[in-house]
Amino acid sequence: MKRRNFIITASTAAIAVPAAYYIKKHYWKSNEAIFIPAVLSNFCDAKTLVEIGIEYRKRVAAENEQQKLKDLILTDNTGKKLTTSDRSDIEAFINKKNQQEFSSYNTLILKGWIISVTEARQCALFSLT
Amino acid sequence: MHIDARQLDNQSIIEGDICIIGAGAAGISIALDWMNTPYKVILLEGGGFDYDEKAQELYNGKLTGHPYYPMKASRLHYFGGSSMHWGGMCSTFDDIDFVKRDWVENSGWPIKRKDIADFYPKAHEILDLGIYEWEADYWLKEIPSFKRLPLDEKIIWSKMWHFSPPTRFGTKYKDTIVNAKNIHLYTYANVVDIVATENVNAITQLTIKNYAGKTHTVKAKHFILACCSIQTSRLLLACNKQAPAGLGNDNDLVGRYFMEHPELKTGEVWFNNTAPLPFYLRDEKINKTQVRAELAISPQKQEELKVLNGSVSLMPLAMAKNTIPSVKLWSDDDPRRSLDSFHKYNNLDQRNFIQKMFSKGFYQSYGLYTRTEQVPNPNSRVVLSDEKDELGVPRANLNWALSVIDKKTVLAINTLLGQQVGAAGIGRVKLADFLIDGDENLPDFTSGGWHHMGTTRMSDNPKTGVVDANCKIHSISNLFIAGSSCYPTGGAVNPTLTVVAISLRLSHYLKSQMGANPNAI
Repeated sequence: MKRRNFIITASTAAIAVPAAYYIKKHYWKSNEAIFIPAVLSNFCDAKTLVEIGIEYRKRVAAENEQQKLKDLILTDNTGKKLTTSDRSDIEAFINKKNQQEFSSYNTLILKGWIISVTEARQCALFSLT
Repeated sequence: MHIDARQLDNQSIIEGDICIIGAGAAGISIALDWMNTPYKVILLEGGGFDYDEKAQELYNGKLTGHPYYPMKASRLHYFGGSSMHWGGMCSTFDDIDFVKRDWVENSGWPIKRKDIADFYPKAHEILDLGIYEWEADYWLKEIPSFKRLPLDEKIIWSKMWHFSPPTRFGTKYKDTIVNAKNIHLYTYANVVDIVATENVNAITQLTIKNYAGKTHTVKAKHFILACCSIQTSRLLLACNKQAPAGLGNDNDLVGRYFMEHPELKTGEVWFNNTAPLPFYLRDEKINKTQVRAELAISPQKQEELKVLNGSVSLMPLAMAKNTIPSVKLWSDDDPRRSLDSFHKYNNLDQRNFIQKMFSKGFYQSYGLYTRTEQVPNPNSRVVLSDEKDELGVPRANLNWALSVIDKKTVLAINTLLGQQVGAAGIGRVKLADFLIDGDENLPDFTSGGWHHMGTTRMSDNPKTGVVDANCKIHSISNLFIAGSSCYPTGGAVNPTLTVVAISLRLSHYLKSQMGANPNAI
């Protein structure tokens, strides 16, 4: 299923199934852990993730671009960019970054969810790809 | 000794050393403290030993401001008072609750927590709260199934609640009071007037009335008003023959700063894994002691974020989704029907079923319930109505007014909790829509906990408080007030334990003033 079709399906079917189910099924293998907010996707459906992403892009117009979002997601708080393409390394990096952002109150409230900035960027990327 | 004031000859004169007006948790606790002393204690109760529609009707009044429980239904008017329908939740005030906080208008008690702390153990006993232990670490050690969420305790800490059976004062202490030789309990004895000396600096006598058409006089050396916030302030305001603004109201403070504990469903927490969390529920007992923890905002964070005290409790989401705000359930003028409605919707069978599922670890999502302190607001107040009750006393009207900081606090606590849950890597929090709707005020469905506080606030300065640090009305040498109406701020916990403690403290003070052994039982 193409990405666009997936989003349309997810939003029109008004499903309330955790997005992780679909994402894992359709995208996990694509090694695109970067646009999967792993924890959040266990609790939200794909439609909500897209809505969060759209809201973030509206709020932070300067980041409304795929490559920019990817770069920001893969850059740590010292400015160092992750270069590996290994999925588990990316997941571990993002997970650690998420927790650091929560600890330093670098969070946002989007569609009611209290999420890290990185998660918000992941959703934004998710809504663009 | 018990006397039904309806059976006395009209115009009887009753005399004693101390007169306690109101036989609820505060009044009965004080009376118990004076048992077996050489002093004659008169305990006045407006109702009888059971619910009486005519007595209850005396509590009727009108509401303005934020939606609230009907005046007639939010307090009970018979021996035992509102302890006859309370839920039994108890916790202690925190140090910060007593402190003057520059970000909380009108905050600061003239006493510190340690001044009350000595009376908590006795209050704990009176309320049948079991083991006197308030440290979370103690309970985590004693009850193996208790596990604390891995949150930073310097930010969100585990505050303990104890559950009273709940103690019904009118049932548990009736025989003790009735059989006490020096306690003279008068039922159907509604105070309708308080008479002071000519210069209004001491009380000489009270006038009591009942539906039987009898009027009596009560004389004592000391008088203690223990009728809770609304009726205490109502009575002071209504006694305006000698003091035009009402007794103790030289500075227009009586009736003001009425406080509640705003409480409402504020969101959801979703955990990565299913796990039972009995530490945060009330499903474990040890030696008849039932406890649970709530997630409370630390004093440091209150100061940093400039918000009030508060805490969050958890409820399995499947259950939380079906709850209805208390203010909508408790809407009948008749407190018995409101109670029925409340119980029906908080169906115990359903609760037990869900608890069982929960204990097996089936749940990973929970509803968040937040209860916070309310900032003291002078416009949140009790005023006299133009309408009088059947005994000729102006009725009380209540204007419950909330403030912007109240909502700010609810949002801050839940946001902080969400950040801590994320930082711990255990899940995520979703806030309720009303928290992010841009409105600065709490929504209409915000309920109270039936916790009436304020209206005769305590202060060392007569210009900022009705009573002094010993709960004595500033300008009157022998008129005291027992209970939560004296609270300058209300903390974020159910007030009953502190009501009993502060009443015992008043009792202790009075004993020392009268030359009695304060520790005599």
